[in-house]
Amino acid sequence: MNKGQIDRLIGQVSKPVRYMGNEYNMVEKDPASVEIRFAFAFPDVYEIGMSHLGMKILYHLMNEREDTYCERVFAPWPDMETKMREANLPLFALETKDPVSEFDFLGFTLQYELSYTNVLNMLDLARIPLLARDRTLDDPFVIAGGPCAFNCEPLADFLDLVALGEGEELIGDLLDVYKQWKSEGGDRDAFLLRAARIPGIYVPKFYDVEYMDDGRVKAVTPNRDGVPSRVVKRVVKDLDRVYFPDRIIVPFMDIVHDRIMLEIFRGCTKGCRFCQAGMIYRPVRERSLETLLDLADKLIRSTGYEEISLSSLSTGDYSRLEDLVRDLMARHWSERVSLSLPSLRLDSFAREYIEQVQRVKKTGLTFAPEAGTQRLRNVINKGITQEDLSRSLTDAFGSGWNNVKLYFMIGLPTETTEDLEGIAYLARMAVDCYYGVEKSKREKGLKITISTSSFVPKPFTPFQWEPQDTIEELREKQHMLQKLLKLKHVDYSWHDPETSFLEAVMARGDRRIGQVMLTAWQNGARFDSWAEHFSLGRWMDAFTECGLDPYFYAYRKRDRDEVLPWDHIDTGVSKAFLWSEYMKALNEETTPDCRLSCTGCGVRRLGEGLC
Amino acid sequence: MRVLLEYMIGDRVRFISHLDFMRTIQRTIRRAGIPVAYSEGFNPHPKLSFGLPLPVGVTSSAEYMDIILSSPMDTEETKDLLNTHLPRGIAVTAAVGISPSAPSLMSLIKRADYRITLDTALPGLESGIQSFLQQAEIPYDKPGKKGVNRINIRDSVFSVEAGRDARREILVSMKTGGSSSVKPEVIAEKIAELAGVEAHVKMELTIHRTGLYMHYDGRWVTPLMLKEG
Repeated sequence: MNKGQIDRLIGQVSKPVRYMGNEYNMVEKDPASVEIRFAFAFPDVYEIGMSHLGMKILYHLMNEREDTYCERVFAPWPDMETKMREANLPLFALETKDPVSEFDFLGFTLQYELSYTNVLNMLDLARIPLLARDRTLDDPFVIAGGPCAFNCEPLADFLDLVALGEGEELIGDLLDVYKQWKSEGGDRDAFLLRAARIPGIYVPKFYDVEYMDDGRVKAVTPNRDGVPSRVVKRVVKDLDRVYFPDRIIVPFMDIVHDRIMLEIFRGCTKGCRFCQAGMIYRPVRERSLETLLDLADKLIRSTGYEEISLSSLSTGDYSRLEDLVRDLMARHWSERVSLSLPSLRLDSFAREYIEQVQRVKKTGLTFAPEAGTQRLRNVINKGITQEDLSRSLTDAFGSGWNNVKLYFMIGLPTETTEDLEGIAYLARMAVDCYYGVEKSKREKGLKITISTSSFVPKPFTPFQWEPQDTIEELREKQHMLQKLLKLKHVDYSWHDPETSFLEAVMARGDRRIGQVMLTAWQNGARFDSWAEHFSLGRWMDAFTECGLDPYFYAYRKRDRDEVLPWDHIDTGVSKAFLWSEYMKALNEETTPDCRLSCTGCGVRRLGEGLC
Repeated sequence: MRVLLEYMIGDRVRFISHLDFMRTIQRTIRRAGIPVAYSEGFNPHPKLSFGLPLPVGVTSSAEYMDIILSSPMDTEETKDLLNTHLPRGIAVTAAVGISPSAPSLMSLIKRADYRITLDTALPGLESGIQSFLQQAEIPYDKPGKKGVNRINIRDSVFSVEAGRDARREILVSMKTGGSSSVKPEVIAEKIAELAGVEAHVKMELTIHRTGLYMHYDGRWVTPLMLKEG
């Protein structure tokens, strides 16, 4: 199919610009002039995938290499999928519109579990055999990375390789090894064996999983020589030296995060016990103020973006936040470039920042106390007090904000009715804080939004042994909150507990889940993170068909000595540390920020001087 | 200083919407360092105004917008700077200074010309065009926000003729704005119907806008006529 025909087809679907490419700063190369073609895939639609910082980094990084051309591919929306299947058009990359099956690599980033069926769908649309064992030398190597790659066992049968941890250095090693293998010749396993020796590369087929009669994992053991028994994630040591693009693609369409994302640091020292990102991205490494200001200058010039956001797990913890905000505003105010500060932590929030930020743009403020009582906040180690919240809210209202969101989780370990009542108490307190501000200083039209998500126990966290609340329990809690939060100025929104349930199954799934996923996909599952496409029934049928019990994965409490399906993956944080954090949680004991003193999580093993 | 820009939208970017284009031009201006004037207030936006929005999927040889500069800049320099920083597929073809008090482009532009190309040749195309022109009343149910509205689409065109490839090309000159304005494909579909194509058959069309015009001194001219001095 030629480009004209593809264009014709694109013209018949919703939001054709998703499939058009040709954005400013898109990299153009002659495919004949490179040795490696890499299709970087995000298993969701364009406007979500293009909002992902990791993809921007790796896309431009790979394209810095003369021997490699990295292109992009996203999940076609169902109307496009239908057209493609009708027209027999295989999945193509945005840059050249060439079929991705002709590429050397197809690399997926796994950002959330509910995107997995899109991985299968994209492989199928690309006409690449779904199962890794069915692929031949004519097929690309299918690789995955991102946070969900740490427990990608549910996808293990479909992936040739998995990249664990930060990709900037790893990807170069992998491409070098690939080139060498390609020039020497050999079968697929020959490449995979070499790749498996690169630190951070996990080749699922080189590991056998044995199960016990009751369904638990008995052991995961390498089945080849020269393959590590545990694969350790890759970590970049110095963020001032590591590659960061000074130009990024500027999409035509309005994407979810349509702005410059300035990554100010990686990792988080707070140690919230529910938070997988806070555990797997350790240790904390900051970019220097000078590097950030320089990058911001270059990125504004090369993109023309009107907004910069500071990106990290906990922006308020950046050691030079005040200087950074002040300098960025001073340099770019004349060009009307605004600054947004997401995931700002309560305890580091200061009036001065609020005032700095609103000089350009005033968006809603978000706070995440996560739990309604001090007791439960101690359990999850969220070190925010009611006084912190009250002070921050009063500051915000006094500075003219009137639209505030408070995020909570329900279904947290040890949660009781009292904790739910605590959420309503904090909502009332927020209203009181507003009315406590002098009338002349506050903006009219107060709106407090309380939003609850449902807790999903994640691997590599202290709660990895915990059962999830049942769908019914979560619904009851939501009903209770609906009643409690019928308050003036207060809106309540909540997440569908059915999707949280499937997320919990997938997050702690083992390899057997792959069969279920395949079945669900064959029965039509895709875009599971989109309410309009999600069907729990389809998944429950697939579990029945495969003879597996989803409750075994979501609702079961694990023992201390149980072999977890992801125990052969090493994030640096030790299982012993996670267990001790779990025990402290149940005792309502907190653990201080590890910037204050080392809490012995184990990540120091990954390298000298890392933290 | 007010600068009028004429620009083209090429094939490789033909799926961008008018909103996409507006975002793109704002970012291009920032990349290019053009001293655009900004509005006051919490959400300052650059002072730009546009002519007739281009439908998604349509390419164009001549679109128009104007921009207010906070400090003067040579029009040729403005044009060159923008072209250096525009995405491939969009290019400024002319830039002229116009009076700050000139009416808006939106209100001045009254005519849009299109070249519509059918993917597959239609032998009766010319006779379809003839019979379109011969009729005084061609009813069409135009979808609107409050249900359909019956209009006469014969009224919405100034002229129609066959193009160089008389079995595939329609050149149509259309009125813009007003309740009788329709998308160019509506005209093409009607002509095809008059040429014997059954109404439900979906035709593959390529649509290109060849120009936008305003009425001045008894003639049709392009907005570049607004050039001062």
